[in-house]
Amino acid sequence: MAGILDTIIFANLTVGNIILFAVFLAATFIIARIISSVLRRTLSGKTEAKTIDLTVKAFRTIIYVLGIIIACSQLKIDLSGLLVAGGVVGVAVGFASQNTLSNLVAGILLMFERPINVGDSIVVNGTEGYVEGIGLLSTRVRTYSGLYVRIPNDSLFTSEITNLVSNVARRFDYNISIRYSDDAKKAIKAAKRVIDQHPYALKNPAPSVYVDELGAHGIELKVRIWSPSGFWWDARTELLWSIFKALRQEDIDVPFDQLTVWFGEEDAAKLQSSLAEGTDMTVEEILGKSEKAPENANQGRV
Amino acid sequence: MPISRIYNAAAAGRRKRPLSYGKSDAGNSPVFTYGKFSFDYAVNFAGLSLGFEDKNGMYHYKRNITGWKHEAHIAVENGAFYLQPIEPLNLPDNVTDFIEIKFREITIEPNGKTVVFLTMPIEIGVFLETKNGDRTLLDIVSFCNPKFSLYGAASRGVITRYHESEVYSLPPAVRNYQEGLLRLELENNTDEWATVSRVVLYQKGLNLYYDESCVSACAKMIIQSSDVADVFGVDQPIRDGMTECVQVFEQRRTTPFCNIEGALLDATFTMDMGMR
Repeated sequence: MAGILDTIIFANLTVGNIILFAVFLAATFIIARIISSVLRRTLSGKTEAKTIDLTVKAFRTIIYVLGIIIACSQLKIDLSGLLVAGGVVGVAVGFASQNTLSNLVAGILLMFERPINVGDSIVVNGTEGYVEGIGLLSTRVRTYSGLYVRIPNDSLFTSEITNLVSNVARRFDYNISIRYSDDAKKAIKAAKRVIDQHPYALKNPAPSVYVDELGAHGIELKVRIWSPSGFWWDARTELLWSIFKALRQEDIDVPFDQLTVWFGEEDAAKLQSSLAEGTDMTVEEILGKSEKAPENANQGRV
Repeated sequence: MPISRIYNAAAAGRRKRPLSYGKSDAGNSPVFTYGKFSFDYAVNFAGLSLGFEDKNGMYHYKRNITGWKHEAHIAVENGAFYLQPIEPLNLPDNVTDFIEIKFREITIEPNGKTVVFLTMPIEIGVFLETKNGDRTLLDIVSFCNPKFSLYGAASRGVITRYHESEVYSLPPAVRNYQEGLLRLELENNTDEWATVSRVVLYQKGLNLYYDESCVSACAKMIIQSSDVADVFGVDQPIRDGMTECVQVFEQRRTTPFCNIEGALLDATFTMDMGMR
């Protein structure tokens, strides 16, 4: 058997060399197939089909080249010159495509880390929008105003990414001011009633409405509502107006910024009554309900 | 003062919540008729009106439920339409695939079993059918106000269609256009007492059945520990003679807002973030 394998066919090539060459080529083909299949399975669903194809082809080509180089050594073909030349070309290409390579590496890392997925709503470097596609070199984002933005993966990878829909639910807040003359307890009850009726205001975590601050111009209410991530904007836009209407129905209103200036020692009541002179309106209508309670007015002396 | 008297005094001062085992105020409600109808049939029921007008060979579908209207043109020959209860996961949008029912606490003995009846919201599907039996969903209406909730944490939980129910030991009378009955079999597989006050059901495997007065589904909850339970639907009616509903599940996409990895195995949902 050993004798057959050592039989010289051509120059210094033996039968054994030829068999080994064939075995290496077959092994290369099988390994390339296996790695392609594993890669395809691993990347499936993580990125676009186009990118998966490209990645698989790139890996397959690298494996073929390596396999052929190894197999060629059995045919006594000296590829060292080719390798040196390839190395030099590689260094030159590497320098020239430094950014491209860093984008490529970032793209591969993004695929495995998966901070974002296609369809997610994200904020990156001031760009807000939906992820349209994650490629090997760049990520495409469609802004809310419909603009196309291409973000290089290197830039995306090193930036702070806010994924607005990564979690199933998110919270949004309102700050609502009411007048000092209004009953905050009644306002809270009215707001909660409206929130409870809205389907996208989650039952759990429960919404909270509370007096947050006693402001310069009114009582500041804080409203905190949890909503499904994909529908929070609908809830946010609908609820604010609904809460406002409910407060109005309870005769609770938003205070307007006011500054009452008193001149000298003039009697405040006299000054107030003079405001309505020559008009069809009452003092209350001119000053607003909040002025009925003197402590609500910002009083300044000049 | 003896402890028993203190307890009684405290109990007397406490506001008692009404228990409603096997009783419901829906006994005298009108009954909605589900089934297959020809296009000349019109519905006018509790604020819902729907029907088809034949306009030169094409049907014009009109629906109105308390001011919420929908219209469509339908081209079909010798067809019919169905009114059937469907799972309450389609309105106002495809938000979730999970139904959460909150009820008063039930404490189950170690290795114990019990069966309770809960109410669950339902929606009504309007299906079209050709003479060959091909069906499609035309419209969905509901007499319930939808409400959603979050089971678990925002980072690792699921959005659920929320409903509160009393606990019944016998099937109560319910408004068959608004609510269905869920027969829930509770099985405590642990050696400790377990307390349950909510169930989260995955829509797949939760098959609805209906007859002339009731809509129903069956599910089983197997308690694995004090905080973990497996919940899955059981494909059976609560009584003989009920008709199986068309499953809308096959026609809708699964919600993307399902985050729990490993908690959903086919039709079994593992409630691993508490049962209370």
